[in-house]
Amino acid sequence: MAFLEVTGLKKRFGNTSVLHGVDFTMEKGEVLAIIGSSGGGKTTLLRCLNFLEMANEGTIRMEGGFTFHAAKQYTPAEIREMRLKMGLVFQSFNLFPQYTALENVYIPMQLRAKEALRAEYPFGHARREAIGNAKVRNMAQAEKLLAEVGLADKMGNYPYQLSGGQQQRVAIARALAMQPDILCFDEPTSALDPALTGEVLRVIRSLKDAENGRTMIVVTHEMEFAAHVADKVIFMADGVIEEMGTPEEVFGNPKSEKCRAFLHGEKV
Amino acid sequence: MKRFTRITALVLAVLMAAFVFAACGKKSDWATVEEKGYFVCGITVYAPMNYFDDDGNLTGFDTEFATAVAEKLGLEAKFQVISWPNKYMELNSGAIDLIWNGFTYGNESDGKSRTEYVDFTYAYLENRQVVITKADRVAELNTAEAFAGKKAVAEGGSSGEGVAVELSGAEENVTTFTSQSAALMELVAGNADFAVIDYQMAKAMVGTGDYAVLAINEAVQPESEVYAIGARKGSDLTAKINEAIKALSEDGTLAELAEKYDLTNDLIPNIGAEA
Amino acid sequence: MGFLDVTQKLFEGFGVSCLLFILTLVFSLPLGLVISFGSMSKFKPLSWIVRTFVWIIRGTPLMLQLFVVFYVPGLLFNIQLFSGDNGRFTAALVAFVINYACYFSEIYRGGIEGIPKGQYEAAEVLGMTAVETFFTVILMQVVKRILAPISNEVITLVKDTSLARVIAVAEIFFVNEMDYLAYGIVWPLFYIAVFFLVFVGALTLFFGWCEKKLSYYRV
Repeated sequence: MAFLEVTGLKKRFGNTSVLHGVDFTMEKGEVLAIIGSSGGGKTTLLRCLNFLEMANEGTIRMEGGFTFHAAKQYTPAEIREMRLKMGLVFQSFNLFPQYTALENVYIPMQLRAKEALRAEYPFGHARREAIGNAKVRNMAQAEKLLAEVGLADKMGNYPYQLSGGQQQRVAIARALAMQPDILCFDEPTSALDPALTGEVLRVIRSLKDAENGRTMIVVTHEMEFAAHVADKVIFMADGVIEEMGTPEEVFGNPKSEKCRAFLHGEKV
Repeated sequence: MKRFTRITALVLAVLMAAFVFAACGKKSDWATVEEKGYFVCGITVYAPMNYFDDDGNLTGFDTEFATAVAEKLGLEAKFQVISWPNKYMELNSGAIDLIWNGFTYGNESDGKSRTEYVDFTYAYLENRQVVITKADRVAELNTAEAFAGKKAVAEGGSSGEGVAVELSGAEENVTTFTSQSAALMELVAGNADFAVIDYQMAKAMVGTGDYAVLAINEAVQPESEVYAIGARKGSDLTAKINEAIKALSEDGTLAELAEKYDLTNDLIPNIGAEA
Repeated sequence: MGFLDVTQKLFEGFGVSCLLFILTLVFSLPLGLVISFGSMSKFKPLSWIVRTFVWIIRGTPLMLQLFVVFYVPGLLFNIQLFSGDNGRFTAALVAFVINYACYFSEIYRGGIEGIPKGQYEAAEVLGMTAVETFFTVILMQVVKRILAPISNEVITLVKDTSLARVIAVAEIFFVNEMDYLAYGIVWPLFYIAVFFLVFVGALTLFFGWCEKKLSYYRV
């Protein structure tokens, strides 16, 4: 059984069908790249996996994590729990402007820690102390994560004081802080100057090369990156998976006509 | 949605019922006033009718007169400074009970008799409207015709406004203000050629203080008028006030008051007596 | 008519103006938030009703609203909603609170709707609840966005309090008109101007300070 199993996923916006039934699986530690022209449904697929959009049909199953059936109703709390198994890095960073880089990473962690501690300690001094300890721990963890993405000297900076590449690295650290089982990237370098894409891609690559390689899904236009970093590549067009395989298969010998045309346009 | 409509309809129905109930349950004016123990006189501040003395207390002929009437009726008189153009709204909404402030028994500027808006009590003081100009223009503006087409100012809703319209020949020539004094300020400032205000007020103010450059222009003598008190149409308070006025006229209280405020020549004698 | 007497009289009137100002803010700032939530409600009938109400209030003069609140209940229904010694002040306060709450609600709505969708989505994928999202992520961004328009409204309110005189509330202009203008004394008008300038000046400093306090980030 695969680590992540997506079956028959369909999504409509009003009368427009955006995903017509998407099936794929991936294993733990794999890096999956999703490519394809705009409007093909890549971003919608990613948003369905993070429950920012609710799929109309199909299932999403994570081994040891959750099983989502589109036909079932979920409470906001249940969705929140499933969502935390996934992480998402946005194209436009979406850092919180009123917080420093460190706070951006630390605050979401601490909120979850507080929630857990509130359940554990009903009230009183013990809870305050536990929350205080969590604060120290999470702060240290946030610092460590920021150092890992190369921003040890920018922790006190506000987002507007950071370059696009630096902001995206903070966003990656922030997503990592929630310890997701799968980390998703939605065109993480599309909003960046070409000069800055390298630093972000390097960080993503380092996550794969780390000791316990991260499981990642990357929607990207960087074909070279997809070719060299991904273990598996999916080409999407018109709401379906047209081509799926190793980078060698997809880039070297695509079976689908659409995929060939697309790759020709991208000049790989 | 259906439920929502039903709830809205219910709320509206309850509100309407409450209003109708309140309207039906209305007591007569006298009963209401008697119950609360006072009546409220709508006034504007001007000497000698209602004004603040050096200690900041409200006094004046009308102030003392109203207090005396209230005493006769076993009540207290309260005074509310109002914006004069709103006087009928104040009265009909019940915010005040009487218009008692050198209120001329006469016409509104639109020619409608004030009796269409209020019930008058007995008249108690002679008054007339007078024309005010800058003192240095009295010689120039020396006939009624001279005022035709001139710019006039008056207190909005005052009987002076009607006179001003008549003299200047057109409503467009008359600008109105919320008080007689504001009208006079306009004249001082040179924004108008003449003003029409109450004689009683003119006597007290024109030619003094900031109004020193003004003078009563005797070239025009509008018809004389009388002051009376305005009550709500159909109010049973009117008769009660009349009784009290008659008594105060008989026992000399009014004459004393008139003397105190230098109004003896203007006071109407034997108010309410059979002719 | 000494300077001190005038000062004392005008201070009394100004006290009424200030009280009207403060109480209006105390009630209308939170009420505006409630109204803005109503106008943004996903329950359409509620949002229509609220928006129509806001349109009526913002589309008619405050002076008219003062008349309606104070006189209409008595004129049409024979009921004295605002009787007693403070009746006029209460009526003015009601009209001011409703009017300003509607203006504030539109400012809040603009501020809240102006927050990029990405901020909510980022909060969502980080597992925040709706309440956490509002208080940790959205609120301070809204505050920063609405500070300038709110400060404009607040300063307008200082001067709008003088409208209360149309229903004979003894605020500073009414006092002046009755006690001084009525006697042809003009100079207190300029004195009043000083009161307002000082008050508005203080508010300007206050809002400037707020702006500075919030200048550490940009939205």
